[in-house]
Amino acid sequence: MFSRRSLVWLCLLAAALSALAVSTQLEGPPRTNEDRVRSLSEDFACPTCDGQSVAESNAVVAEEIRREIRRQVDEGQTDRQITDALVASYDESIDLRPRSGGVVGLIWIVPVVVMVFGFGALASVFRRWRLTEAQSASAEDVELVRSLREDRPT
Amino acid sequence: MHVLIGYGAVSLGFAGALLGAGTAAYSLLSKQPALMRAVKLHVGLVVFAAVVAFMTMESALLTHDFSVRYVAEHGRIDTPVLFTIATLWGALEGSILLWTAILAGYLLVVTWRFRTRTDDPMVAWALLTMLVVTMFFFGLMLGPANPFIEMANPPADGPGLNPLLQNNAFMAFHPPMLYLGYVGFTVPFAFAIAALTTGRVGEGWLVETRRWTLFAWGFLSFGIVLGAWWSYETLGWGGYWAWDPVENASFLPWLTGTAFIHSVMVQERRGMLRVWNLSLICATFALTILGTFLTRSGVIASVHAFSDSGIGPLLLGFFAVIVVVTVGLVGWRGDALRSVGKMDSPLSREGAFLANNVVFAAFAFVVLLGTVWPLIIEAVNGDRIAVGNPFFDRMTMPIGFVLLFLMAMAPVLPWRKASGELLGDRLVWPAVAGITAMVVSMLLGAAGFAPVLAFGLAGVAAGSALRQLVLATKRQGWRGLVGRTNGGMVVHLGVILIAVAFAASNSYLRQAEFRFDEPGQSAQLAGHEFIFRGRDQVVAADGRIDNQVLVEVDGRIERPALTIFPFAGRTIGTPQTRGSLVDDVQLSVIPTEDEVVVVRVTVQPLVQWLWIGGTMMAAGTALALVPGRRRRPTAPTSAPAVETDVEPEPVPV
Amino acid sequence: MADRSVEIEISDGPSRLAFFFAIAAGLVLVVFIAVLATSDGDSGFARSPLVSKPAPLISGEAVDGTVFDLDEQRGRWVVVNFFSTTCVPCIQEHPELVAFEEEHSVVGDAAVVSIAFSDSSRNVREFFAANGGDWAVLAEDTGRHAISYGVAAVPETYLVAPSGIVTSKFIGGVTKADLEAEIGRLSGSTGVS
Repeated sequence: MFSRRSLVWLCLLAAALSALAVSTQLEGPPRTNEDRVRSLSEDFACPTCDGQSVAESNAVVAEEIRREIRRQVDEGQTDRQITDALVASYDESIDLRPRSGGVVGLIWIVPVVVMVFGFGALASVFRRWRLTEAQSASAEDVELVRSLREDRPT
Repeated sequence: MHVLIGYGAVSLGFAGALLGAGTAAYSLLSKQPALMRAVKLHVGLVVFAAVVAFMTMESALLTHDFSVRYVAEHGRIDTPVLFTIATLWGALEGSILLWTAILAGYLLVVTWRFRTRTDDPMVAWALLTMLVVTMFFFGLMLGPANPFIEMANPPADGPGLNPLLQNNAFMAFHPPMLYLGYVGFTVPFAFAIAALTTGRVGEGWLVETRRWTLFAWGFLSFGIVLGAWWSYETLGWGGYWAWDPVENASFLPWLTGTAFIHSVMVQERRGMLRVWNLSLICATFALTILGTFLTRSGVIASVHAFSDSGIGPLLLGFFAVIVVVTVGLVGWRGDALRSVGKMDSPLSREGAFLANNVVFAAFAFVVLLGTVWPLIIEAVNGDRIAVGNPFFDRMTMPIGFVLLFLMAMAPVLPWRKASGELLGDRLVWPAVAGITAMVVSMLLGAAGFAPVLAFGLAGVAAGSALRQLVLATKRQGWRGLVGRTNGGMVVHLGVILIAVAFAASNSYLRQAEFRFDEPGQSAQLAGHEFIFRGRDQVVAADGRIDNQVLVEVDGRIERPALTIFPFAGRTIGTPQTRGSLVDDVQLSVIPTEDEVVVVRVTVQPLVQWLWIGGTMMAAGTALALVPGRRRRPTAPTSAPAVETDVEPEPVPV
Repeated sequence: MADRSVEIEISDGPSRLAFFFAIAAGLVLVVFIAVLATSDGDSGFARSPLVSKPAPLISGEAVDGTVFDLDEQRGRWVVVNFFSTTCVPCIQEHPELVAFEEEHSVVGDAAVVSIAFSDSSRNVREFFAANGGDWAVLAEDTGRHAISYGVAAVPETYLVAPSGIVTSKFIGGVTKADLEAEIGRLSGSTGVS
């Protein structure tokens, strides 16, 4: 029969999973146009600022680009359309999201590969340790260790 | 006069470091330990030179001696005193001077601490390494980064510091804090080189320098949080971390340093991971030099970067030297020095710390990759691309979850081996805490799977940390709050607060721009009300002009402004932030060409938890540095795999 | 005294993990340092993706009340100049534009249109009243024009061929000589179009 501990954990697990399930159903405040402007602004670089996004920068051109994004969002353009328009005007490099294809896209894959490799290495190291543990000490080994320990200065 | 004394001091420092390094090298190679006594004098010379150079520059700044070019370019008569003092580290050459001064300080403390043991080759090698590094930085100041250059026609006044740096008094402290961190890693690096060279990795030296590493790490953590706080308060876009290359440069050594702090505990307990720890320390130091290179060479554009100068190639060269020496030493000696132990089970504290190391290493790799990817792509096919928030946020989110999970598990895992039953018993209350956190957050308005999961994991992690603290204080009274493990739990709590704040503020940020024509108009956002009350203009003592916009936020007036710095020829925004434990409301004025007032309002929950968390991290580090009762600092604890007489940490059953 | 030396056999040979790891790390780092050493770090918005593409539409009310439409300028070269009244290089290039426009409006082969970037109509009117210049100037709602051309900072000038294709982008102030040289170069190589 289940021990008390298992029962407790079953309840905890159930509670946790239901809480998470509820979280997926809840909706926050409705996403306004301004919210879209903000999140789009974070995806584009300000052309004259060193590396800042349009959302972060206080430069004049950043404010103009935000205004333009706001105008297009209010017109009903999709994220894709707004992105394409800006890239057509400025250059691929205004988009802060690395493209998914080609050499550039490797940036999404390399970290995953490294992580998998890292945990794989860890797993194999543990396996090697466990395998070497399988040897047990023979009587001679025990005697040898005991006599060496007696001799060792404390 | 200032130029003469200052440059003379720099030359003296370089000569002293050169002499010291040379003497130490000769002492080691010819096996004459007695020569090391002379090195102590050389260190004294170096420290003296650094102090004189530092004081001379401060004197030049405070007396507004515009015949010194650095003062003419960055000083101003009306700059407030605190900022005048801070002008020393406000631009490139001065920042190198600060670095060197702090390095000299650490050199002094190390030499003092080991003054009776200089005939030990370990100490000799460590001092040699530190002196070489010191020599490099003095050398930078002799040449391309010289702060003491005479100005032929001194102007009557200077432009002053960048206005963005003068917005807040705290900003003056950010570089010194950061440098105490960066430079501090030189000490464990020096001992790591010494250990690799002499082959003496098993005597607890790295354990002794653990305290230095923790000290440096604590300052680095606080410096980074301070920088985020400044960015938030001054730039006014509602963000505090932009994954900017300079920010990443400070974050990378923090990541490897954190990995080291954990895995060194495995070395203390089980004598394992010796060479890995040495590599981590060398990587951390190398990353500080790489970071310095990135911010001062103009290779990657950043809004934080210093002005371009000739020191880029020199820093890169130094980085290359460090890499070659470290990789060479590890490749040559590493296998002979590796520890013989093994771990019993992955489900143990050692296992958790190993996983911690893998995750932090991966995290550092991701951040480094994202930062230099534009350079790599450009070298490969000539395209110019940019990598920003979208990449970093998406990559670090899963890493963040894994780290929260590890923070939940590690404090309850015993050393060597754990059984499922043990874990089941110990994790009950933390699990309850996690579920409570999720429920409470949803009741308060949280929505969405990822943030709620983050809150849940944070709750479990906080529960684990608190459990450890409660048990320790019950057993030992106030001593239950100090010492390595308990201080570490306080740091964990700080990190958890920061993680929760990060999740909440990123997921639930609201922003809007309001246009006001006339006083009395109002607007709402995220439960707050904003009423435009008019404009005002204030001229400050140092000459800056604040064009303020008065906005009544929930009943009280805030005054965000556009501040004109006529002497610097710049206008910057001065945002205002109303912070509470629940959320932050930030207002910034957007410049317009007509009479309409445009105010950008950003509302984010839990931002203040970031700063509270950062303070807790600093406090926890201080607590962790309090020496425990039991351990002697130099007791050889990294013994072979057989359990020795080290007192195990009392583990409640 | 009994012999205490014992031979301990290690079953597999000494691991060379650290050595191989160092080699691998060393190679990666060498490549990394090479990349850092050879990059030059300037930002890339100097090239315009609009070159050789149809010029984005410009139409709107100029400060003098007339309506301007870029399409109506087909058959002539158009100098599309983005400026603001407070930027120093814009002020410096203004007389050059005045001279260019005076000459070419007589000939009829090129026209100038100025578009104010983040500036007010009033400032623009005063500027042109004080400094001369008799061509279409747009100041209202000009952000979208600037963004559609990919303007990063002022002054920037775009040259549009009589066919309506963008041919060149000038960053910074332009001179009459620059413009005429570019028109001459392009007219010569592509013929009338």
